[in-house]
Amino acid sequence: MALREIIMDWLDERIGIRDIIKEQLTEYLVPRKINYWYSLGGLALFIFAIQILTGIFLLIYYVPTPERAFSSIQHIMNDVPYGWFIRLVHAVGANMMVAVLMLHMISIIFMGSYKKPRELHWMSGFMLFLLTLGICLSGYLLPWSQLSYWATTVATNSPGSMPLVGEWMVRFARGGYVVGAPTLGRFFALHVAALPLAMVLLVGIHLFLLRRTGISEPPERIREEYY
Amino acid sequence: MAKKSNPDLESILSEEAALSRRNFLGICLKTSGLIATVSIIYPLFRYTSPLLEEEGGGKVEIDVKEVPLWKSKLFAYRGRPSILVHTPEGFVAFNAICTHLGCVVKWRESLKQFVCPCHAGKFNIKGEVLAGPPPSPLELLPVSETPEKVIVG
Repeated sequence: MALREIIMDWLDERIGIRDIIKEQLTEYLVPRKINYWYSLGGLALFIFAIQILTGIFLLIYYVPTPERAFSSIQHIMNDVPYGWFIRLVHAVGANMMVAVLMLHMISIIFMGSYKKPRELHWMSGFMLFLLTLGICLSGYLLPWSQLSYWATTVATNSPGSMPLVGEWMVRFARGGYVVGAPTLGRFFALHVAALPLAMVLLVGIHLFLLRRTGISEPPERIREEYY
Repeated sequence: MAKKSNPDLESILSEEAALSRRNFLGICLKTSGLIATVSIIYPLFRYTSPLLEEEGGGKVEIDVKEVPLWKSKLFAYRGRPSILVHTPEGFVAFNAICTHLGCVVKWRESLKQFVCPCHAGKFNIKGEVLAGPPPSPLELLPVSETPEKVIVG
């Protein structure tokens, strides 16, 4: 018997793995008329996985202090073999993730897929979108370049327009009056720990909800036909 | 009247009955849970809040020789980036935070203007907006001079 079969038999006897694969993968039916637009959520998840992977690799060399941040990025880009590749995949992936999520949301809006019983899908998905924007913003500061410094100054300045609490919120976001070492520290913690963890949890909820209700079917004359 | 039961008294008694040992313990548990939650949240809130010491007391002294005529100097005043310029009429100081989106303005000696690097806001030596998106003038800081020193604050 092949090794794969031995392992599968062992797992099947204990946790019924073949049933799970059958139900969730090989015989999981999707509506017949869905198209590329319905793959965008999965694509976003795939990019998220790439971001986590490349992020872990970047963490090996990145140093989150004002003195070393920029030079450690230069080290990754110029000295570390394929460091430029890992970093650019991470940077381009971040942009792609936002683009894919926006397309995903456009298709959901136009198809009315957010309607009952899928309101919770929309809410969890929208929170995921906000978290994605947050993780993009916090990641943008980490190279500690002129561009990232001033972009963060401008972005963290925006709550300042709020009456009464605005100024306090700006200071809380920056950890001081101006963007500085405290800002780098908190953005780093958000970017590599808090936000990814929150996103993984929400993705779990989002996918659980999707499996409970099934994919929203496009309106079709033939509703009963499946592959 | 005395023979009939008093409805007020009855309702009071039934309310007392509602406060059973179980309810009392439940309230105690909820209260201590609330206290425990606050005693965890508050340290975390203080931990992430900006340090207060940055605000500083007030006056900044700068040596006159450090800033020749039409030159400028960036310094921290009460934790905020501020800029001092030496003009023929004397020294002027402004909060260097651009009133548009919070970048730090620079003094351009050749133009005699403060220029913001982010969105090209321009201010004159009085702090008034000359061009660009800033909605209001730069905040003027109080300056006093002695023969050797400029005192801001």
